[in-house]
Amino acid sequence: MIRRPGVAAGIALLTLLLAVVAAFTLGRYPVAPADLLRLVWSALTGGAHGVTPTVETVILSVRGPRVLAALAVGGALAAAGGAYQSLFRNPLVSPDLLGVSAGAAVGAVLGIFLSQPVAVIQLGAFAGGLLAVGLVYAVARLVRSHDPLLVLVLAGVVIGSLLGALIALLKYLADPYNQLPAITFWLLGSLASIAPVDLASTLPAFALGLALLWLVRWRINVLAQGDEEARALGVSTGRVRAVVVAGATLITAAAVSISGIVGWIGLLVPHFARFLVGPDFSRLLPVSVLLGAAFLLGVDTLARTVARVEIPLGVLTAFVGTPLFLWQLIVARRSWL
Amino acid sequence: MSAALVAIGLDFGYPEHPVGHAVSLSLAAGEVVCLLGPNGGGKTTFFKTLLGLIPRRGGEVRIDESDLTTLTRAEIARRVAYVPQANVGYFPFTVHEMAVMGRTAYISPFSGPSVQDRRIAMEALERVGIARLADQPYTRISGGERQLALIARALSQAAPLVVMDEPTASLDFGNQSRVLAVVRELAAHGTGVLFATHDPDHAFAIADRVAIFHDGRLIGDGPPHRTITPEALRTVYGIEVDVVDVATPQGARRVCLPGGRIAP
Amino acid sequence: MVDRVRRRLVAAGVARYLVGAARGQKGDFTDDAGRIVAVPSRVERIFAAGPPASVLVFAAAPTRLLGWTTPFRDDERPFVDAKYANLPTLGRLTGRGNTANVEVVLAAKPDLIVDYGAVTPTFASLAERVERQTGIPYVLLDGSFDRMTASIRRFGRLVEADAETLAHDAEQTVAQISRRVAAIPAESRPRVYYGRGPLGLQTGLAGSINVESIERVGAINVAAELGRGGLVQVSVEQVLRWDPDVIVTTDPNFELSLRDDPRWRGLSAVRKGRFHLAPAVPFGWIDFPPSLNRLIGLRWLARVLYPESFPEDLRPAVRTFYGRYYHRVPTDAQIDMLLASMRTRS
Repeated sequence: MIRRPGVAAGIALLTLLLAVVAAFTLGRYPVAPADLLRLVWSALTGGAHGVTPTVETVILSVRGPRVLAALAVGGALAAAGGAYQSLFRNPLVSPDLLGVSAGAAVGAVLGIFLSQPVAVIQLGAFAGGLLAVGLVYAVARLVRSHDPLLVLVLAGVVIGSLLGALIALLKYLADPYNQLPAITFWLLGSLASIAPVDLASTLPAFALGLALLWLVRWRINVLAQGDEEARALGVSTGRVRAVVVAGATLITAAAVSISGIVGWIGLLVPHFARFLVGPDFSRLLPVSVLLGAAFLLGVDTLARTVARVEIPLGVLTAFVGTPLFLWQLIVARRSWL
Repeated sequence: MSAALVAIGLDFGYPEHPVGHAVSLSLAAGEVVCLLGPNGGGKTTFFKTLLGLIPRRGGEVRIDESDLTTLTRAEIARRVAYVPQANVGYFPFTVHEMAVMGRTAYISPFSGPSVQDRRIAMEALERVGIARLADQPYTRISGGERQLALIARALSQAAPLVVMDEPTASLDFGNQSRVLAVVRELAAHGTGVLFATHDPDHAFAIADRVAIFHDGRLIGDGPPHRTITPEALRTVYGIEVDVVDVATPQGARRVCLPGGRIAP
Repeated sequence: MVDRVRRRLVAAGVARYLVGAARGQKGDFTDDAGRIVAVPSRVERIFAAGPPASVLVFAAAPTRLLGWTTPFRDDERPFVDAKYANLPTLGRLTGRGNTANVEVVLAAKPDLIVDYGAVTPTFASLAERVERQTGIPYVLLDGSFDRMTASIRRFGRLVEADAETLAHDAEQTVAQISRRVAAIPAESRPRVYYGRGPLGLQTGLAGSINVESIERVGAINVAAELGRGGLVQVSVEQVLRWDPDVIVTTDPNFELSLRDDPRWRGLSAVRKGRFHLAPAVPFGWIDFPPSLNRLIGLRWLARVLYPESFPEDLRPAVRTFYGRYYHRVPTDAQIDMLLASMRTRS
């Protein structure tokens, strides 16, 4: 395990910067690096840039927001995954554990099914994610048990299955010519249609969710010792758990609402981050965010340049993530690095 | 005023099956109380109920005159520290980080540990003699060292009372002695320690009082010399035991020797 | 050996014919998948296995159609007589997602099941299974554009309906458009982007059924450079790079975003107002369902893409088409609504 957090953070940041530079220079629309520099320069100095309007549109309104969205979604999912892995003391846990993605999917699929405009589909996804977790929490509270984590996980699995069945039903009833392809593409995840307004609308949720996770960073470490020990050490575990779930749900629901379902980041990235800086959440969180952002940006850049057409993000993260995960398991030491 | 943890007629156990009945026990600052009983007898369940980690079935628990249920977890943690049996641990926090977790009750919910918190934790590590392990992952040190780390965590919690659940279980001969010495030293500094054990010799070595736990009840509560008798041990363990005084350079010490069929 | 097989087939055919004649059957019909189906002499009740077949049966023999695969939407109903629109919903027997219960098929007591579309072995085997299970003759007709006229005629002969007008009309439409388009030089062929879905980022690759109509009128599908295939997803950047001359879409949300979203402003098609929402009531005009409904879409595309070569007003053609194929002549207001998106926007 690398135990120099400064070095690790530096590596993560550098990777991120490289990913950003690569993302801006690559793409379907030919953009000369000179144009890119000219735009950046004019933004800094306030002068004219002499770049054609379409190139400007591509850089500022199309590729730019897409890059930012990839960073935001990647960082958000990694942060939520890391928080849940500590909270549930299980390194195989992902942000979807309590059904937020399934709920968001139901919201979005319903929106597509009812032929709603994009803004409504996104809002439906966000609301669906929040409602699903709320429902899981409500169900968990009905069950009295001395193992609150287990009950929460079980409720999440059950509700998640139910929502999955609902999605399957909607796909079945959807118009196979017009709605079903739209539903399928949404479920596979993509950043192909990101517009600046998508970022503006999700930024508050990202900020609030990350802030919540950051605030309880120490309590998360203590919770990772187990519910009983954490309570004995003075933590109101129920309340801290609720804050962590609220924060993780906010950022995951916001991410899914603009990108569709993108898996593997929440599961994989915190592993690497833990390998680099250890399990202390005050270090794990920022490094997970940086690595997650860089990872998704790299994957999204591949998704839009490698093949003739867009490769769905969910598919690509699985193809890239699985070998990385296996390599990490084989090479690294045990005890949940 | 001196701190006190008191169980009054405590019934404890799980919804499906009760474990203990009408147990009354007290722990005051500066004294070492040993809870003696066989494995699986319910000592852990008692401790968890005592600390409010498991809901009680009946009776009362009071800390410093206040009913346990009226206090927040943080308030309880500032008065009583808990040292569970050390397990392997899930995430590789360093030994120092583990010790710092003992300060949680003094860290406000939205902050992290201060420089002072970290210093106090380091001093706790020094007191139990494992300062050299400060940066080692908790998951990679030996069982005995892990137990000492948890004791250090309880020390940094700076609570006047400490409850330890079989702190010497699965420790080697040397580490057992080390832990017992730490307990004795804690009491000397004014901390009250309640520790569970199955070995009566531990009680003779360091306890001011012994409570004998059998079949869910206390069948004895008093100074070790008076309470630990061959009759009591026969009741609890079902074997013949000779309780003898041995002369040592430090003075007479009482020990238990399993008698009967084991003797050559 | 082939001789022996052939003799056996002939013998089987003769036997079938004799048995069929005894049962009051007209005889054998070889469908487009090569299956020999024994068809009754009177076909009064026809079950359409999927949406394309529904359109075919509705156009050529509306009184014999038993029902639709999905119910009509409110905005589609004004274009279809109530007695047809209110036919029961029976679900689809084939294609993407089977929703018809075989018992529903049996309860409808059809004389014949017709499927109109791809004639791959998969669909042939499905036909075989249903026929064996229900005992109802199941006929597959080739739904490709090239065979549209022939299929209409074959269907007419199969059910003894007068489909000649329709077949002739289809033939003429395709021939007339092909003729005029052939005269247009390659440089004047417009580059078209066909965008599906609310974001308009789904499109058809070369040869896909989605862009068949567009390619038939000689236009250039911008997505063809990405290869052959079906429906795929592209990005905003990709569309900006293609910068098509004309954009055709089926989704009003995408059309709206072409008008309002600043990211699309740089497209020449948007600047010149050459983006059009294809009409879709009561059936789509461009791709789905892939059936006779696409014929009027061909005329529409031709006019939209080559305004100089197809100067005639489309209104009479729409009036005639709807009257002939959908058995209800639309009002002037309805025609206005259908053709509204043809006007180029400034």
